[in-house]
Amino acid sequence: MLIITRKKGDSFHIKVGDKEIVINILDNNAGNVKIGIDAPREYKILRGELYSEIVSQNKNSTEFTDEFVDSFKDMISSVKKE
Amino acid sequence: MNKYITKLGEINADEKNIVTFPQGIPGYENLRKFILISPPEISPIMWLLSLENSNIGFPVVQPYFVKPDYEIDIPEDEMKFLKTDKPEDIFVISMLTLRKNPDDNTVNLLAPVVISLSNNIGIQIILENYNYNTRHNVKEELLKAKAAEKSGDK
Repeated sequence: MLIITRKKGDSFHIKVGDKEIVINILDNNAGNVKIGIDAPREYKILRGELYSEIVSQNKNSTEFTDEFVDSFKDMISSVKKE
Repeated sequence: MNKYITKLGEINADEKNIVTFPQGIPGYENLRKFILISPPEISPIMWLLSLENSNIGFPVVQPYFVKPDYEIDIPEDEMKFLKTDKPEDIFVISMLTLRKNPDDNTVNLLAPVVISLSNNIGIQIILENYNYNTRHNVKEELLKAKAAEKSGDK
């Protein structure tokens, strides 16, 4: 991992082929760092915790058994009846 | 027809029914080939099964089943990725997390899987600026939908 130190108002550029991403450090206040990102539209920028949450839900989703499917169906029937 | 070993055992899949996820699925970025099957006996659940890793498969539902007013706007970039410009080509499914206690079952409405039916390309997208999350309680949503339907009837 490349680790670099930047001050408020500084920036750095990431070049990938002919594409470029510019990261600007806008503000640094009591542990909160405000960052501005200029990137081509096709680059998706996701907060790390959001992506991790989706990965973790996908992993949970794949852990099921047939028994869970039956209880799911029972639950639906009971909701319909209520 | 080719034989594949999936999480649910051996299945025969026609090449034209295989859904390709060019970016994989978050957490399973190396898996590209899936099949979506909807056995009537488990309806409304469907299976999205990996054809490359027999440990990986997801129970999914159409989000409208859980949330009848579910709506999403698929960003232009993703429509390009799916190589389609026709909304009617798009099939949307949401991953379920099934638990031992069915009251704890959840559905991921924030990151639906969208499949372009004309070419069977798929991607799991992450919705921005929507009030959805990755863990909606299925039972609560169904009860809410039922209550909304009742009040609409009056």
